[in-house]
Amino acid sequence: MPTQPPAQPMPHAATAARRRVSRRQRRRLEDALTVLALIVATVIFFFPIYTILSVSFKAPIDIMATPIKWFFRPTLDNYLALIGLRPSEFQFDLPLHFRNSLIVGGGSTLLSLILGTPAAYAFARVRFRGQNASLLFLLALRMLPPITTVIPLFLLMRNLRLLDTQLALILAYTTFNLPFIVWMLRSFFLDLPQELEEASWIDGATRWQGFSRVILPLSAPGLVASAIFSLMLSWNDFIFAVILTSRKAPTLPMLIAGFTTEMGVSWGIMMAAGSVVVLPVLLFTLFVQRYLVMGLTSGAVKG
Amino acid sequence: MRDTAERFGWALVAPTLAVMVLILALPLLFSLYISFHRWDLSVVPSRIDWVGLDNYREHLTSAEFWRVMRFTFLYTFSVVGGSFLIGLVLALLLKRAPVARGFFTAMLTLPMMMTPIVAGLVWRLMYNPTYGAINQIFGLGQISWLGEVRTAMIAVILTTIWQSTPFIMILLLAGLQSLPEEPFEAALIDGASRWQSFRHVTLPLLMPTIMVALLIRTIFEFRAFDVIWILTTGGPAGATETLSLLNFRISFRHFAVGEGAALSWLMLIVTIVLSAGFIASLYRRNQ
Repeated sequence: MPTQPPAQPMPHAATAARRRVSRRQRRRLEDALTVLALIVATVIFFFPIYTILSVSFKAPIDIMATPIKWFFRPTLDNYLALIGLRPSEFQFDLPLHFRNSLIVGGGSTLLSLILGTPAAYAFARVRFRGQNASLLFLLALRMLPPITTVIPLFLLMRNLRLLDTQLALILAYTTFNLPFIVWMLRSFFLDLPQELEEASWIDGATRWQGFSRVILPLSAPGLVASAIFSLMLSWNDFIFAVILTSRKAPTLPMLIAGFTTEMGVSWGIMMAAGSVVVLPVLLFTLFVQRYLVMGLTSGAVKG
Repeated sequence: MRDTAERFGWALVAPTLAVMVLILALPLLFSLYISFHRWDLSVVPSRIDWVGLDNYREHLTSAEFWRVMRFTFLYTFSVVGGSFLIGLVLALLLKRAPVARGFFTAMLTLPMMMTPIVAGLVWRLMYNPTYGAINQIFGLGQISWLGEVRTAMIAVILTTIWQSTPFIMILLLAGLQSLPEEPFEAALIDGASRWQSFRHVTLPLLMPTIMVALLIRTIFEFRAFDVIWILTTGGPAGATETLSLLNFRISFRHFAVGEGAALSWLMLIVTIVLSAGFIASLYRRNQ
């Protein structure tokens, strides 16, 4: 039995193989370049965050060293000064700002969830007249520049004698947290299958029970994610705080901004304070990574 | 049935709408009312005098207003343009990433959620002429970034691009990942080059997402306040003052809340035009 003469197809197969190899090589080269570009971008984008953390552990002499001291002996002095265990050139009350930030953020988030969750459900699942108009009304309010809403709010709080109170900030933050939570939870409810409630209705549940006993427990992840976004929105705000509060109810960003008006050279303690403010936000951001797209399109960034 | 749904729906949304009307819509209408008045809070007891359109006329005929308006638009479009280009490149890189896509995405997301006041503060340190990282790393001598008109403008724009890019990157990455496969296979069979398939397949399919991202960012950058407050407080010589900062100065430094309210409504008109575009495009997508 004559064997197939291999001479004929060989050169063809060889070029094809070579082409395949070179294509694979090109692919690998592209992979490497992509990863390299991403590493460079990550280093650049992370650099300011690295600066906050590293400077918070530096002694003044290392902070002002030229060229930049990449390797230095870390010190806790800045953090000790921040909590009052070491003298500092700044006058501040960290516990007061911290407490206010927590109370105001938590209060406003809670209020927005209580009011907004049923509304979000209605917008997602119930048909009623004026539905689209109401939804767009909430979106439109979300678009207003804060400075335009804070002037009348200031006058309102002034008349109610609520200036420089936590309640004033809780109400002010609700103006952006509530529309955000309605929009975010609405898209969350829209993603749940409608059959869930329909099954409960057949079992004799009322519409309210269908919502509170079937849908709500299933929405725990969405509720947690939107609560976190809402907390971050309040935590990060500065413009409402600087206008509506002064001595009694200032929040953490007010503490940071206060440093710059008496600008010494204590970058260390300023960055230590910065880390305390920013670290929870960064951790929460990683935590809600899955919901970022949903959050962002609902307005999770307050420009 | 129809009636119960109607009542049930309204019962659920009424508290939200009532609160929003009370704490936001009504105060806003009140600010329209005071924009036609002179109201000086620094005089006790303060008087409210009807001045008609005077507050608006004063803004529209003042050189300061137009200088600030010009910078606000320059700033808005530079930031949106810059963060769109970088965000698009990053999204394409992330889409293509062979390894660790989740890690890179998470790391690149961080600047966006950072407290703007803290972000401004650390950039202020980085812009320091003598020991700041920017001059040190790039060997730029002793450029006084925040002290000169031109460089201060560049500085506030750069800082905001850094904070805003992740937003656009995340939305475009999500858009890229949800694109259907078929058009790309068809383009490949037709022998399209990479650039052609990007230009004629990817971009058109991504366009709705791009529009949403650009419009949200434009509305957000237009209201810029926090980061610029920390970096320059609008200086030097008002060169980096935005409409929000000018409004703050008028309303809460000079306590001329009537003039401030008029400026607010001028800002609202611009925002309404921008949002109308956004809402229309969103509505069209929902249809």
